[in-house]
Amino acid sequence: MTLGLFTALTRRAASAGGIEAGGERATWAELAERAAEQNRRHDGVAGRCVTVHDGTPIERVAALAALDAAGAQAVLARAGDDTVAVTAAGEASAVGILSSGTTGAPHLQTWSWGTLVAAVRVPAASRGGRWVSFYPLDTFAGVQALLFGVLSADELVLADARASLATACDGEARVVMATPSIWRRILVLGDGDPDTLPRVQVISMGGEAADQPLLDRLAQTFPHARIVHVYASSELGSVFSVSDGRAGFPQAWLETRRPSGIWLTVTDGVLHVSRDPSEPPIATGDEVRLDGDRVLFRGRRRGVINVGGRKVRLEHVAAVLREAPVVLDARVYGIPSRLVGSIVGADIVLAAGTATDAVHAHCRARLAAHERPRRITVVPVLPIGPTGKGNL
Amino acid sequence: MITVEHAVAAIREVLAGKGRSDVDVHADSTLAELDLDSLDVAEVLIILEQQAGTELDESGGLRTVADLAGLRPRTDG
Repeated sequence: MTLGLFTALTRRAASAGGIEAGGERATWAELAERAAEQNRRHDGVAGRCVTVHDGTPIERVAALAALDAAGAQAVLARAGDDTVAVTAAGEASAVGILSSGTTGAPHLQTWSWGTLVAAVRVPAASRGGRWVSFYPLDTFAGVQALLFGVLSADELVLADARASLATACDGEARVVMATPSIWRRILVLGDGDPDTLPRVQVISMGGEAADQPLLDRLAQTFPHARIVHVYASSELGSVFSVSDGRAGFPQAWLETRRPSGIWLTVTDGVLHVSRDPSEPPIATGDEVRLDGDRVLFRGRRRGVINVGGRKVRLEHVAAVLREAPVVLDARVYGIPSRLVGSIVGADIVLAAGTATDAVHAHCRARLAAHERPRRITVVPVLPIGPTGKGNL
Repeated sequence: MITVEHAVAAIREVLAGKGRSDVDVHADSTLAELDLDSLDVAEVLIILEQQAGTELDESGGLRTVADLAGLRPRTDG
C-alpha cells in the first residue's frame, strides 16, 4: 500500500504525542481512530472529489486522512472561496490545494498523498520533539508541514498565523515553519525577548522570498538555530532549500538538477523550472538577478506598478525599506494617481523610539525618485493574509 | 473644503520627505519655484484627497499653492 496520510497516521498510533491546534489536542492514536471511524462511514467516494472546509484543524486533518483511506480526492477549499470549480471526478487518494494566486489567479492543484509523502526527507537530527507550523492548513506549505510533522514530530502544533511563538513552542521546538512575513511578525511582536525566547533548532520558511535583513535578524535572535529557506509552490512542489544564511541561492545551481529532481534556469530575468531539461521550462513568475555567485529574487513579475511611465518593483522597494536599521517590517503597494498612474505607498513597522525621518533619508539614498515611497504609514504590525503571506 | 493652510501643510509634508524642511511656502508660491515635480504634485494631491475624503478636480491646472487650495471635488464620478 502506498504510504499516504492515513497510513502515516496509523503507523504513529502506538507512539506518544499527537497534534495540537486551535486549543484542541489529539493523540496520534485518537487521530488515527477518528480517521478510521470516518472512513467506515464513507461509501462510494473513491475516485471522487470531496471538499473539506469545515471544522477545527484537527477535524480537518482527520477528514483528510479518512478521505485518503477511502480513495477519494480531498479538496482543501478556503472558506468563502468558490472561484474554483470542483469537478465530481477526482484522483484517488489525493489532495487538491488552491494555489495562493501568486503565480496568477488561484487554481486547484492536485497531489497524490503518496507523492507528497515520498518528498518528505528529514535529517535524523531533526526528527522527534515539538514541531510548529504557522502555515494555514489549506495551503501547499500547510499540507507539507502537516506531513513533515506526522512523519517526523513527536508533537505537532498547527498554530494560527497570529499566534505567539512562545506559546506555540512552549519553551522549546525542534522545528518551526512559517512564511517570511510571519517570521517578521514574530520578530516585531517582541517574541525576540531573550527572557521569553523559546529554544528553536530549525527555522524553516517558504512561500515568499527571504531577504537578507530577515535572515540576519533571525540569526541574531536565534543564534543556535539552523535557518532554512524552502523554495516551493503549490504548482511545482518543493524545488530546493537554502541554509547558508544568505538571500537567494547559489548561481552554480542553475542548469543543474537539484536533489528534488528539478532543473533551474533563468530566462529573461525570470526563474524557470522543469522536471527534465528536455521539457519546456515552466516560468515561476519570480524575477531574479545574478549578483556575484548568487541568484537573488527581485519580486513577483506581477508586483510591478507604473509610476509616471516608469516601472517600479514593489518587492524591491520593500526589501530596501527592510534594510533600514529602524524598519522592522514593511509592506509596499501602489496608490492610484490620475496624474502619474501610481505612486508608491508603504506601511512600515518602526523600531521603538524612532521616526520616519530616517526612513525617508534611507529611501532617498537608495531609491530613484519614482521608486521612493511617497506615503509612509507607521503601523504597529503588518497584516498577514489568509495564506500566511504579507506583501503582494 | 481645501484651504491654503491645508495646501501649504501638504506641500511641507512632501518637501520634508525630500529632506527639504526649510523651504518657505506661501499662497503665491508656484509649484515650479518650490521645485515640485509631477510625482511630488501627485503626492500632494493624494494627501489633500485623503484629507477631503473625495477625489479633487485638478483639470483646471495646478500652477500655484493657491490653485491647490481652490480645488473642488470632482463631479464626473
